[in-house]
Amino acid sequence: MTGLTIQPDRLDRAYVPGEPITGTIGWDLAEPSEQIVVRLVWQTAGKGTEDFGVAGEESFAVQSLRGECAFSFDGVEGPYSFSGTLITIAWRIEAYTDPSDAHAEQTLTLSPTGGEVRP
Amino acid sequence: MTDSPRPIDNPFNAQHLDTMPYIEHAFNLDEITDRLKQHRYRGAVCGPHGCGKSAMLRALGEQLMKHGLSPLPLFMNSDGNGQLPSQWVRTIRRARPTDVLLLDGYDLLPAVSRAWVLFASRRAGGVVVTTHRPLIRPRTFAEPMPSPDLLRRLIDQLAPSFVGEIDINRLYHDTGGNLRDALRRAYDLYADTMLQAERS
Repeated sequence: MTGLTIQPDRLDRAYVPGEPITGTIGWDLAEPSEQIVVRLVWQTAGKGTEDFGVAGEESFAVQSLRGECAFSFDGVEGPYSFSGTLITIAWRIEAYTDPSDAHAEQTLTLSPTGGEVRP
Repeated sequence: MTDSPRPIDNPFNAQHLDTMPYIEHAFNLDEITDRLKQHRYRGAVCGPHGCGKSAMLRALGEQLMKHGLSPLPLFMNSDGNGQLPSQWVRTIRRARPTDVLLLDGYDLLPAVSRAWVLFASRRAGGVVVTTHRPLIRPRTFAEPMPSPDLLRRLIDQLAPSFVGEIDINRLYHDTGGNLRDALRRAYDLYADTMLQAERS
């Protein structure tokens, strides 16, 4: 593995509102980096203009080219993961190195059922 | 509960449209960039709604970076009611000789604001605007030309397997040659086609 990996503690990556979202970020970098930023974000996608929100962000100082660290975001209430005809609301955890440009992301779902809400 | 395809997976969703690579047609980007350079990086991309002006402006930004210039893209649409956005004012005022302002929606501004933009940007390395009709200043240096063939190539780039599923000539003419509208219509056609395929 070279780059970043995101391993959520919940393997099905299906979260209910208010449930903390935790996991581990691992890195194996080809070049030094000062920090790794991990963000919990939602984004719309579909026919119209996109919207985007950051629900949580953590950063970790990078001491060596290889390592791992635990991340933890407070539970969020919404918006629920959703797919209709015109819009999808999708959640993901994304991580990137700063200043180099390694990047990783993991999708997840947030809803009372743990699955994506469909009309 | 519906089994329709998810909008995030639709190849014609807004994210894919906004990030698709520019397709050279009628014009070669190097030639256009050279022409812009001859105009001291000041000029207008002129054409009707949905002909590819914004796409060309984005592609020009990439080209300008190869020329050692720094593109500063600014966008406005009719939601702005013709008001000069504060972001435009800040960016235009601080533009340097190595910066080229890329002003998408410039012709939505009233004449007095357009005059201010041209005056205030005199220290910038260049100003490229989009406009629906020819202007006295800046002068037109490129006119993107939509065509059914270009629409076919755009659809082929986004969803190759879908090209044979739709009547592209009809889609082009139904949307009056507005490529943006045609691709939005393709979003609905794709969703309908996928839904019918799943049901059958």
